Amino acid sequence: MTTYPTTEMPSTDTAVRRTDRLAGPAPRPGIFDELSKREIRRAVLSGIAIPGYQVPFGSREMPVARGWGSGGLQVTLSLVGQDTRLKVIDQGEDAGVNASNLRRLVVGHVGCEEETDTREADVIQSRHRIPEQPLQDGQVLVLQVPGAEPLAGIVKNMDEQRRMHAEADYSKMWVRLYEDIVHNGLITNAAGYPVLVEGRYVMTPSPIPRWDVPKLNHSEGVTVLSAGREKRIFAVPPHTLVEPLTFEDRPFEVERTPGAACRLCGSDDTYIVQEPGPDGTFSTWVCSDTDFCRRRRAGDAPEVTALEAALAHTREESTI
Amino acid sequence: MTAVANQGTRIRALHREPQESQRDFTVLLDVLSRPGRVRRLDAPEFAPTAAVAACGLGDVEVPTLVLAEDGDPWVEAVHAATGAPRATAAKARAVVALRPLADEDLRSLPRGDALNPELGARIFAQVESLAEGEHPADDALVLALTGPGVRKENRLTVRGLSRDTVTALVEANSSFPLGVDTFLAARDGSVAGLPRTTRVRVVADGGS
Repeated sequence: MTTYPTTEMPSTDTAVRRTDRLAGPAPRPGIFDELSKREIRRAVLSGIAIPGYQVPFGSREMPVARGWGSGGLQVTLSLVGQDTRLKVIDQGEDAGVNASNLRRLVVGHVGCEEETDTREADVIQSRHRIPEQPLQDGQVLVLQVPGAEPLAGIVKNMDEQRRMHAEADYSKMWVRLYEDIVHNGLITNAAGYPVLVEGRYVMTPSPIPRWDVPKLNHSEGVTVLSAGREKRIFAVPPHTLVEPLTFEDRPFEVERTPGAACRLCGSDDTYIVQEPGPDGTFSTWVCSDTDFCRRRRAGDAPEVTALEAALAHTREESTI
Repeated sequence: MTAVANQGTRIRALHREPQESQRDFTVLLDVLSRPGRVRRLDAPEFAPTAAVAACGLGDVEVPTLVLAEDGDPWVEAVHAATGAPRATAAKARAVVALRPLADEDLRSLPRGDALNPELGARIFAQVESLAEGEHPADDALVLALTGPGVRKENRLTVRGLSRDTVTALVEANSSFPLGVDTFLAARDGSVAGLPRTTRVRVVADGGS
């Protein structure tokens, strides 16, 4: 084995330490100032007061690129304090690249507590999943939103989109859904299925799978959705009516694969995703929500998932 | 109640530190999300809670109107502590009501427009006391609340709020999504939220 002489450049680590010695300790890193936090907070309160309406806000530059959770990050930074327990997930997984980096960033900035157990978290920032564990009173779910406008694929003009929301004129949305059924036999929206909030605003629930959409209806937790790139914050308070748009003779359905179950915990009542095997083919399934899967194996997860609880609630409401 | 001699004390009381305004916000978010719930802000007891709540959220970007008796020194203190510019009723984004809100006040406040409903005023109204549930008394108003954030119906007992103000609020919020969002703030630091979505009904009025 060849050994190389040690003439390489000093590592970044050493360089930083040298600068520290020269300049003294670095000031506490600031990534989000007080005035910006207050603006976000006011937008979140407006969002709660007008459920489903996209409140414009002055989205700041973040140490992550727009489109990588900068909107969710700003809401989370406005919410958390030193005594907050913060959970961050990427597609249900606490250890995902996006999740672990955002969590590290917030914890490093605020000094709040890291959490992976959904039951213990005060704030849950999520990229595209709602946990299987039913949310509780006191919890805030922050969803990262890559595309805030549910009408974007239907009309291009943003003024026209705003007019349609202002007048609750969603006829083109219904035509689109109808055409989808005519062409394809079903409504093909997979992620980000459009919903009607409290009978007034059509909203995208961010690209969560259909599996998670019913959980927004009459949730116990507060849901805040934030799009940093599009500078829009919207929210769903607890106990608020959230209905997927569909036709009476085409009931809304969630994803199910008959016979498939999680390879690890055996669940077939959670959202499962295919994983690649050693030969590159997709033949096995695992839970997308790693915290719930781990607790199922340890016997520490509830029998009834958030989806089942939400569907039971909807059935109960419809019989009254 | 501690006697407050000078203006500096008042401004210090309204100047919310980062950690305080973060805690205030989580409380305000909770009560606005769940109308009928009462929680407390950690506020100095001599300061009007409505002003404390507003000062944790407001800054130089929020045109603010403080409604108070003539010569009330807290008006100056709110503007000094936040840097919020003075606003007329028609332009106010935030309203701190240290005196009872009259029908005319609520009629002149912005409710937003169809394209920008978020421009409706955010009101912080000072009342005497707040309690969850129904506690009828001679001088108390019991409100029945329904709408988003409420499972079936919540009751809220308020002292120091008149039936006329409630009627004017209901009128201001009669054409959703336009309307005003209200926080009721009591002497002991407790707060409750009445977003524009909440349907309010007076079920008991001890005063009449």
